[in-house]
Amino acid sequence: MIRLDNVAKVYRTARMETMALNQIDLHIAEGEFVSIMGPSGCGKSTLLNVIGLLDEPSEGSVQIDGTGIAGYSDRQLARLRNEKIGFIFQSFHLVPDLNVVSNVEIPLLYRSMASKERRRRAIEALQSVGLGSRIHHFPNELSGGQQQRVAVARAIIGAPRVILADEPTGNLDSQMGDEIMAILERLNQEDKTTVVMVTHDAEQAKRTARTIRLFDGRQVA
Amino acid sequence: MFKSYLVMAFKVFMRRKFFTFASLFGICFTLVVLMVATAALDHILMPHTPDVNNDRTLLLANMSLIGEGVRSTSSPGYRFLDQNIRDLPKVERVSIFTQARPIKLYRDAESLEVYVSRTDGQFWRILQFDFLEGGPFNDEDERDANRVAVISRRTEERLFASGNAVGKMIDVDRQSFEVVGVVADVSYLRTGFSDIWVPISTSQSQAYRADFMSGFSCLLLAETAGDRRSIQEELASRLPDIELPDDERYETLVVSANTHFEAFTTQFLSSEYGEPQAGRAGALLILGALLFMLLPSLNLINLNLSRIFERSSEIGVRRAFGARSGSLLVQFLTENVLLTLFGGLLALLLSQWLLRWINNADLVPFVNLELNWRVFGWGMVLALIFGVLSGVYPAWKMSRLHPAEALRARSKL
Repeated sequence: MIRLDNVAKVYRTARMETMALNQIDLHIAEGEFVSIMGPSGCGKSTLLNVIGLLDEPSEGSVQIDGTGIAGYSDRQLARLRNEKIGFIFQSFHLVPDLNVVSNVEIPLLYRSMASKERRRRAIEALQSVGLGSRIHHFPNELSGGQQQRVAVARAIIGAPRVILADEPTGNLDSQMGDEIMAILERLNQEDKTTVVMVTHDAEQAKRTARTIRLFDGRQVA
Repeated sequence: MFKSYLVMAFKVFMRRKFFTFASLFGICFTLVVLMVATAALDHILMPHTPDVNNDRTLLLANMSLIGEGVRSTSSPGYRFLDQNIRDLPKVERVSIFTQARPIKLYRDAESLEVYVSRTDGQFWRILQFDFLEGGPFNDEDERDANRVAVISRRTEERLFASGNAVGKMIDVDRQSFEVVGVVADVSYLRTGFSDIWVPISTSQSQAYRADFMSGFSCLLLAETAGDRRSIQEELASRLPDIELPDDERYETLVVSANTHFEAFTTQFLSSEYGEPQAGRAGALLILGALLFMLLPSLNLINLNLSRIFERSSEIGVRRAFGARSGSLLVQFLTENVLLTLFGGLLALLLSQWLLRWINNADLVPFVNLELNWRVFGWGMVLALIFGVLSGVYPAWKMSRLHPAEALRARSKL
């Protein structure tokens, strides 16, 4: 499903170069639940951004669902992200000006779809994460756990093949964190969605099928 | 998609009230000034009573005699106009008249200042005054020097408390005139403005008939709007052959028959010899409007740019979930244009109020500035230009934000 060959990512400024990722070879099969661990600054989020086509590798190649993305235009990358990938972020990244259901609809805005159908699917996605009764609330009216569940609904509304979660429980207490983990596990097991999750929590990593460890931008396990 | 942009814009405006207020204030203020200026230009340049034929008229109001190191500029004289203008081809009507000049009238012991213009019969056929009582005088009255007068409504009110002035006598320059018509007040800014109009031939002295220069203006009504250019060219071709009054002193005669716009612009922008510079004036008007919009546009750009960081999370999320740069550009531009169009509508309401105040304050005699569909259209065009001008750069900047960096920026907050 996801294949990275000899990927490197270098951030260059006028004074220095920072090697964020170095010689990463990675293959994640369809339907896998993989966690990425490592100390702060080791390149976990950078790796997730490269997998999610939010950042381009400085070297190496990335394939999503068998398609190499080298030379893809902004339009092609946007379409690929829209159709195949769903993102969950540590700090939720909900749009504060939009209510819950409008936030969840965002991925479908970039597909040709009638607004009624968009709304129906958003409500369905919110019901699947237990927030069917909060659709008209605004993000600041929800708890952290609820906000993250909205973010999960937004990630799954477009029925992506891959969900990339960047420390999805990092800002939540353990009980809420467990709830989010349970949702991700359900998505992986019932819908066969491939899940790649960055985490600092070893207990959560144990619940995934495989853990990739990074240190100083290198894959060490 | 576009509907969702509109909904998003509306939600942003409602949720960010201070930003919306600050932006609308700047937009409104700018557009109110521009709309009042547009209403003033519309009032001066577009067909309104009595200048309803101004798409077919030409005005001769200035002439220059030029010699070695000497130049004399004034209005044309009756003789010059009478001998050289009347037979121009493609001219349907010619009117010779004096610009209004102030005189004193006396009612009981009270002294009143009124404006008097001397005109011919054709004057009333080229300009279409709104007659409230009676009618105009005609060519026979001018030929026979009949002492008849047309007065404005205000003059009627000032001189005859009971109204119904037609048939009554008024004294102008120690001569008595019978009022034959009363017209609605005419704006000071329009051709033909005056309070009282009497035939030219009733002047106490007939010396004006011999004057080459000074004292008169002339309106030409072309057969069609398109004929005005050839009339101007024909007039220009005749000038070298006209015998000058002092040919030892002067060598060149410069006279232009100007369109309404040219005549207006000549007042504040003319070449060395008083020739119209309509193209230059038009360009300057547009440039002035753009420059006037530039400063508030820069402010709005600044305000919008400061929002980029604030909305970087949204930009990052939209990019992550499939938005192209172009979609974001259109989204943010739509927000800005919508805001300025809304500001434009508010500005229209404020302009309406301000114009009513200007009209009632009588800053310019009988000026009646108004918002019509033409001014409304121009106002909306200006709002649109303002919206695009102040929105393109911030929207472009927003749309170019790298998705990973946009998300990172927010995460650091």
